[in-house]
Amino acid sequence: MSRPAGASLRAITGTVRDVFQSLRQHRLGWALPIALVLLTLAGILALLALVPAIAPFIYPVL
Amino acid sequence: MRVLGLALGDAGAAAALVEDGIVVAAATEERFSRQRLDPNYPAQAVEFVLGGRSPDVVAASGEPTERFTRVLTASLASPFPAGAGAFVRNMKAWIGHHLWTRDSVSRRLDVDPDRITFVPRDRALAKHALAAAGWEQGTVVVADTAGDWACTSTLAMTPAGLRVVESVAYPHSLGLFAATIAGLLGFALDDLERLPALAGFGRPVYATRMRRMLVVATDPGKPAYTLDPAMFDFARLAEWPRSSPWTGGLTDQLGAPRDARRPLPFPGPVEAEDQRYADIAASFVVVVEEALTEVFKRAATAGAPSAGLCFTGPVAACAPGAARMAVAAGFGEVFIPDEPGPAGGAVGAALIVGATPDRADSRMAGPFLGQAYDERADVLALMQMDTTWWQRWRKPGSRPIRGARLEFCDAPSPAMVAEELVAGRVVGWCRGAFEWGPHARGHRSLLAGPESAPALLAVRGQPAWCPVELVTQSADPALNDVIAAHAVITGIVGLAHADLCEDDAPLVASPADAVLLFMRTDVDTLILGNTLCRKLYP
Repeated sequence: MSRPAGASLRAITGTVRDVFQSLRQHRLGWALPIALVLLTLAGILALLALVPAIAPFIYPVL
Repeated sequence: MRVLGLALGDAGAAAALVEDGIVVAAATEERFSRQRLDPNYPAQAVEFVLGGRSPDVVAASGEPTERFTRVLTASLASPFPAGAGAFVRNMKAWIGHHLWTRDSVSRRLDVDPDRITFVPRDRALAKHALAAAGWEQGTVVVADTAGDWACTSTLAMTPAGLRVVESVAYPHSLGLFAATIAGLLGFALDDLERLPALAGFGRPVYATRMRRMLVVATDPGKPAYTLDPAMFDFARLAEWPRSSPWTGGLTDQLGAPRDARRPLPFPGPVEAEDQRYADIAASFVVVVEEALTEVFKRAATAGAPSAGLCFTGPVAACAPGAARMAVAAGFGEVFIPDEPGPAGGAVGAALIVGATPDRADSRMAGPFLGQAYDERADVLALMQMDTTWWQRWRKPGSRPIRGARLEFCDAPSPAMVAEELVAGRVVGWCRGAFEWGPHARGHRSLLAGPESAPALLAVRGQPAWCPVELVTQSADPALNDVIAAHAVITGIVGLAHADLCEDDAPLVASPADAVLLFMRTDVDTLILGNTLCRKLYP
């Protein structure tokens, strides 16, 4: 068994979808904007960490 | 179908392999890493259980997204500014790592993420308990710390399947209450077994105050119990020990926390401050058992066709009277698995995902699901060791062995082991595959005659809870024969028994670990497989 191409992207988007579903299921819709901001911020930091010139400044934050 | 079960992201990470509905192997990571309750990804345990094979599917205990939503809302609810640090730390841990478990496991195991299934933790723990009991039907009470959202769940296993009957949701957690008291008494937060051990030296003089923190409700329309939120801030658990999960309200009631660096003097003479710690532990055990009594009473009407109760979850490790109370609540039979902690979820999740229509019943073939070793190389190393060199390995305060000799003999008989015990020696016994649970069941055991029990406890270090265990011929013939041989000589049917490990270390895994323990401590005789090694003192 091996990972198909794009498996990581699929896993990550699936996880984000599950987080929003879980918040709605527990009637925590008010936390959706906070979760969205946090996850977006995490995404931006993760992308910045891929840039070699910026990565040393990002890892301490992570 | 080959299912790899995982318990991740909590104290006691573990892996298990289920093939066609049968648990083939299981191990906790702590055995290999030698770090007690190791919470890291169980890489070595996975390597052992898979043995070079690839899993068809992967099942993990606990749903990361559910836990994330719980942690997020709890962190937001934590009072500002004290809770700000906990929020940052929790979010860094979760958004930086734990939330993406599906992707990280998929990468580590090189499997398609769609083949990874997350099973709710209460269901996974319940399934493991039922499999360990060998029951196809029954009621299960899971008293967890904080799994996904459910903290204490009652589940009924019927021919239609496993269903949740009643659940007490976060933050009303008996496990987190226990962790808070453990922290207050200077223990590790997940070391809940220390509480009943310390409780044995105290009186429940704080029970009335604790009943205001843990309120039991007899009204069936309400949860079985609730915690007073003014006393606890569980979001701050992430910052332990820099920040504590209790508030000033709790320390006003119970007093200041214990300095963990100061050793407990029990069972010797104690000061009033030390006695207070034992009294808090005794009070905790009383009020938790009262809450469990209410949970068990409600569980007795859960509708399972069997009269048996499985009790599992980390709280099972700190409620010594639980079985008695369950019987009083109306259950005819009570079973507590060897591994009631989160690690049991690895087995349960794999069994749930691996269940097939033709094999709905799942059982575990005893507790010895860990790795077996060839001990000959370790025996050889021990035979060639210079005993004077040992001194540098010895634990401070242990008996000097300078000038000692080692005696070896092959194939020790039960009578030979019994003679060691009658001579007042503490015997370490390491044989076959190690126990999957956290405690010895005969393959990684410390044994002593009843009169030598204090010497055995001295090897173990801190006070430990040693419940009575029943050994039968079918469960463990070798240990049963030793008990019988000891009874023939002394007339006493029973031995003092403890885990083969030092106080803060996990149970011994390999013979090399056992040899190191033998070298460091006052274990007088070590049996490795078919070899008996005896220290001779000057």
